[in-house]
Amino acid sequence: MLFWYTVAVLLSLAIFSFLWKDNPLYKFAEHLFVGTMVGYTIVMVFSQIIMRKIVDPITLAVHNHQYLNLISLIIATLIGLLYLSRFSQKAQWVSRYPISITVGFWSGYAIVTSFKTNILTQVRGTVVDDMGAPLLNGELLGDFIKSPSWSSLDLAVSGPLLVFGVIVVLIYFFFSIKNENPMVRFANKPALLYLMLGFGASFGYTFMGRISLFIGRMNFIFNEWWPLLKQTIGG
Amino acid sequence: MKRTLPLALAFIFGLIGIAVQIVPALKGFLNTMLDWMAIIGSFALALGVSSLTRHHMTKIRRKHKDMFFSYVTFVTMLFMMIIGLIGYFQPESLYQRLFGNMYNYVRVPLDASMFALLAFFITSAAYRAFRARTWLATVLLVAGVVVMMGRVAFGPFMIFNDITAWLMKVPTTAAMRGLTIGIGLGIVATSIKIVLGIERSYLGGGE
Repeated sequence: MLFWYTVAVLLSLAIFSFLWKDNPLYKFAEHLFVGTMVGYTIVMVFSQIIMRKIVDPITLAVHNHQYLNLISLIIATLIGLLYLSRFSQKAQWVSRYPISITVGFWSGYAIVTSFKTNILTQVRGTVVDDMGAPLLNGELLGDFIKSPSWSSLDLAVSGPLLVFGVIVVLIYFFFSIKNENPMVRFANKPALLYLMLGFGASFGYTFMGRISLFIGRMNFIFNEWWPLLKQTIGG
Repeated sequence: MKRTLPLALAFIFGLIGIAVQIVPALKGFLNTMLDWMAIIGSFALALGVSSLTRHHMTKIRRKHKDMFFSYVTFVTMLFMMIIGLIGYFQPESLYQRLFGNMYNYVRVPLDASMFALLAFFITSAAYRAFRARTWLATVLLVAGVVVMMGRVAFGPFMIFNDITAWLMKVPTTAAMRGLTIGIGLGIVATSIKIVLGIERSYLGGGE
């Protein structure tokens, strides 16, 4: 185990050595990364798709005399094989068939999924919350006036601020060209405020995610590898 | 044959992609189509591997000063591939354990370290971008700092955690939701253009 832990530590340090400058150790680790990634992907494609979705089902279809299924699998495999025509100068146009089938299918697929998840779900989330309560709820403002507190203020203003934010950001993006409409001009500043708060917060979140990865690596070196090394050397 | 048939195929399969989701009678057909796409897509890997091989072979042939690293890529790729394939046919064997160790102690640390490295680079990028020259840049800076503080808040600094939660819940959600709706409309519009054959750039140039 110490051997593999040491390999992991040395490779992590080789990557971090880039902070000093681009050097052969970093390049070695970088190329090792590419090699392992590609090798791993080849094995995964072979085991999860070639074997599990082509060879095994074809064997099963032949065994169970499911010829319709067999023909479907063979056609898909033959279409996939057309990708290899890219290697021929004369016949490389044939690779447009699998490309257009893939692009066409996923485009059609994306029309429905994107409409559902990116538009309908988001619009719904701007009208009602997860529990189905409306975000623009005057009663919550009344509750805040009756018994003012931070939590009642949060409940009262968060929903309207969210709805307002979504509307101004949408106006800002859809009318990004110069526009003299007073509504569009009014939306400009608050939209930028929302966007900057959003981008700043997202940046902070991403940054801390990366830092936690760094802490994870340091934790591995100092709390897992180092004690194991001391234990092994110390006998 | 060279352009019309691919466009017709994109149209037909585009309609299938829509139909398998919205026509109840065709929903059972969805898994077959997803399998088809996985099978067809898997062969594209050959193009990627050949492109990588060609790139590194050229480096080696031209005796590039970094050709040693091209050997590193080749050897690791072949090693990973061979032990993985043998390990697949011999489960519980030494090869499969070796493949697992290569994944856990080579690929995972390299991946995590590579992403951790980005923390330092986005810091320097942020230093340049966040300089509080305008009030909007100041807002960006303050929001970023508050969220960073909020993620590691303790004791009296827990207030940053509450502010972070609110920032993520209201302004960030509003901004990202506006963006998501815009992106969604963009995806739908582009997909419709592809299915109808208006957008053809994926076919590449030539005849």
